[in-house]
Amino acid sequence: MHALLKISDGLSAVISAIGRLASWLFIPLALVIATDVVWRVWVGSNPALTESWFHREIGSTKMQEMEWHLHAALFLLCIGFAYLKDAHVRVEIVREKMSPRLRAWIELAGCLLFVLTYCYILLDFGIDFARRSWRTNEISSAMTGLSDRWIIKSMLPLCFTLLAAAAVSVLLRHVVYLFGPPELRRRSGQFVEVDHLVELKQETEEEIAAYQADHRADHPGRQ
Amino acid sequence: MTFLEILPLVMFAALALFIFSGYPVAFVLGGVGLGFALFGDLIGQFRYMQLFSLPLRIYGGTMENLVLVAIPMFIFTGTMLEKSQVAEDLLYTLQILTRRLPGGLALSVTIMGTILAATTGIIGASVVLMTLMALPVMIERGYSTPLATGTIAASGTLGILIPPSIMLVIMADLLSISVGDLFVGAVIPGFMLSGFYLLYIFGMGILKPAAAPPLPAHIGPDSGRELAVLVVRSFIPPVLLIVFVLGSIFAGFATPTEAAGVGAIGATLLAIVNGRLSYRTLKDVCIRSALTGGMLFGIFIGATCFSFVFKSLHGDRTIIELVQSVGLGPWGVLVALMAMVFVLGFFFDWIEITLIVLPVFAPIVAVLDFGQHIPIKSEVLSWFAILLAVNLQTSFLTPPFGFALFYMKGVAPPEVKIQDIYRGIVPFVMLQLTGLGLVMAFPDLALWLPRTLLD
Amino acid sequence: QKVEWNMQSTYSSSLTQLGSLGLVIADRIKAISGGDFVIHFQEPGAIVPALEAFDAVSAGAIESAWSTPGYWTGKEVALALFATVPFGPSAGEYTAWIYFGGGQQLLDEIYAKYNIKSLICGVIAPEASGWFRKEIKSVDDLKGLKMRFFGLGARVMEKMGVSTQLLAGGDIFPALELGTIDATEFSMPAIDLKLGFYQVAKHYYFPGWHQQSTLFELMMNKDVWDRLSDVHKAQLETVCQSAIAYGLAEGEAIQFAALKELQAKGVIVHRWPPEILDKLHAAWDEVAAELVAQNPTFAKVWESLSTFRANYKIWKDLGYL
Ligand code: NA
Ligand code: NA
Repeated sequence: MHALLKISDGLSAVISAIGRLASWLFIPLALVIATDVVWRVWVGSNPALTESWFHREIGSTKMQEMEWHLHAALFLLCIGFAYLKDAHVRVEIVREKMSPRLRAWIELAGCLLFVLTYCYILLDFGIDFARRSWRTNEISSAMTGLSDRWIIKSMLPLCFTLLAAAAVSVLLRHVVYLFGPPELRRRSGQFVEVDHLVELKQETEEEIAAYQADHRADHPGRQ
Repeated sequence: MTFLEILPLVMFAALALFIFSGYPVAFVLGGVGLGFALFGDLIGQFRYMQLFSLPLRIYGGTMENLVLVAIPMFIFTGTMLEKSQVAEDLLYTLQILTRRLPGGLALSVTIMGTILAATTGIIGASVVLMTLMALPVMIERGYSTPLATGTIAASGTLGILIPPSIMLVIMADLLSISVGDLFVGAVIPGFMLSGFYLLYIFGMGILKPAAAPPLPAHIGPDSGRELAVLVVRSFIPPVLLIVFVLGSIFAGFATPTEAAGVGAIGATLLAIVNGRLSYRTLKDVCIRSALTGGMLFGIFIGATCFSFVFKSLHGDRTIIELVQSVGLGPWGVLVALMAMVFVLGFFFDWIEITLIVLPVFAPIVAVLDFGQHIPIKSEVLSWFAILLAVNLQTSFLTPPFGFALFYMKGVAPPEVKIQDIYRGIVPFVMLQLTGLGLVMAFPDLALWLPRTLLD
Repeated sequence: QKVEWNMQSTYSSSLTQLGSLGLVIADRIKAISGGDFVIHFQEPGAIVPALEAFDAVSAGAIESAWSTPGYWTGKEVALALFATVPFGPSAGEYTAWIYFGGGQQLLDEIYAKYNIKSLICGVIAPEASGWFRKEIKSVDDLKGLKMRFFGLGARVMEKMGVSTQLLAGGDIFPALELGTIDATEFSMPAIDLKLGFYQVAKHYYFPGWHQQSTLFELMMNKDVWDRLSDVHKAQLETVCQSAIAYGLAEGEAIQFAALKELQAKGVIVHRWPPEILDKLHAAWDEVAAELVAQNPTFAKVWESLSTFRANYKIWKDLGYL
């Protein structure tokens, strides 16, 4: 069980690192938008700039395409990260009244039936989708846009790889929570704890005490 | 109805059921969609290969969509304003200024929502910004959570109706009519709704002061001079930012989408000037914005999956047959259509509904004869589009799928439950339906202004 | 046997000609086959977004699509030559090349790589050159102009010093209104009138040098096409040929009424002065030469089209008034 938790922590660390890194894309995104706006105003007032290197090699269309490239990369790399941080919206009306164990079972089933199936199918087709772009050396359909479409298209299978890894990480945690020893619950139960932190802690502590008492009874020699 | 016709309806039922399990909405949408696709494959109503359309829909509809770029930029702006305490200062001052009015704080929020609506029309952006800025303060001041969340969600949703509005552009495109006609046509209904919200909040403030308490009279400075200084100090930064964003749109420097990026840079500059920008703050803003963005786009992707399978199992045909089976005159058809769109709004977002409903029903509506009610036949389509637009506002607010609610939950303080948010929108949805009824009864609310201003 | 297809359209059905021709085709094929060949017209985005139809058809996720080869230059730049060519042939000459000058064979060759079969299924009259907020008096007025433009023509405009803009679909109309962009190209008078561009820009320029005629296609997954019976194949080919005649006649018939109405609404209609057209033509020659040098497939198709046009000129100069 410790090993499962270790794997889960490892996956979580990698996905979070990628997510944190990707979140910095906000800065270049805002800068590209600002550059495009400023450049357009400037060119409008000074047409001679259309002779410049910047106009010939970069230009508005490329910057506007770069905007959605950065934006798409940003959120695709953060969907799995958001799951690990439990940032995805849940409808909690019924959930609130469930026991922590039931919540853990639902999370387990959700990871298996919803997220992992979903990722499997989207990887199945998403890889083909990116490969088509790579094979045909696809460029922007606007004749003045960016080349190498395969880069941004590869973000899609990458997104579902990360999401699948996040789901595996969450899944392992709940396996540990449900079937592992109670002392690991505090570390494995981050999702079930979200709304019932206090009651859960109490319950866990009581169970740990009971478990230890049981084991003492079973193995009186092993104090 | 045959089993195959009922299947799409079963899809809705399954979705509603699993949503209440408390598993993340984004994954339930995708999972249920795919589940029915695989079931359809089993009974020969669907080919597995059709699912290749999913990456295409995600890429073409969400990744390659320049308009959506504005959403994370506004999330960033809002988070930055919050972290740099600009928002806090502004709301503090607003509270002092409106302290004697019943429901004053909620009134200021509605006015702010209307201003944002007239500038961008990006629902997610307005709702996120106002939730970050106003919701904590409203709760702290003793507003009932449902009233606070309802006010923010409803006024944030105005942006889709008050021009500029991406929804009106897409409707105009699907109907091949002038965007200008729809923009101008939506002005009166949009501001009318805003007015209804103000009246309702004012009324609540008088009738139920416990839900919208006036502020303690002793807060804030006593002397007029001190108050003036406070107002100037706290108003200048955000007003500068608004001038910056709005100005760049109206001067023709930036499109509404780009203005979001301009705003992000502006908010960061403000934070620097305030001396509140550290590496840590910047990092926090980026990560919090990225998590909110990841959550939203998770839902976008799940929703496109669900609606694709729904459409592939001929859910659209089932819907059309439902309406046609009603078999009524022009008013009957119109009312049935509006009722159906309202119900669809519980499950789909406006773009899916627009794509399903408009192309199918526009030809039917175009030939409906409303006699002296709409004497100029060519105006029927514009009127219908505006009615649809007013109606679709509710789709942002109605549970279980209301994007405004998700945007809000994403950034609200953790003690705000989604069920508080659900409760809060009820009166505002009623007001929207009242607005819909009025535009139906008095078509000139939507048609008079374009007739007068254009052509 | 009964055949039932989905056809993903890249234009919404309410767009005169661009979309409505797709409806005509769906309607005709049902009629001509006595109802045992049914094609369901799907609005853009209903199955996949318009510009994703290529991959969807290629992979077999949908059976067919209604589009123009010009949409797929990101995949294969030579396909631009099967849609519209700046300073290119008009409808009669263009279809002559497709049917009798080797055009269709070249098209088959290119699409075969993607497992697609395409039938040219419509041709329409010239487009307008675009809507401008200000009058363009000289080539210098084009410099620094911010214009929404797409495709081969955009490359030409860049050479003239125009800053071409992509802009989100929803931003175009308000951007033109507020002066964020100075101009946009769109379509033919009959379509532009309905879309209301005259409400925000008053100067309407002709001729559409970038688009003298436009070809439309019915793209099909090649396996799906190969499986069709000979009767169904013949029916599709016949419907496409009739759609070419129908679209051309309709396009020529509806423009003047729209132009009259636009002028009545205060639109100022301009013709490009010859010196501007000459400069644009020279810029296009440069762009074409660059593309020929860069891309062997483009070079091959360009060679075929240019040879045909040179020969056609012998006849055109003598035969026509
Ligand atoms: Na708006
Ligand atoms: Na809804």
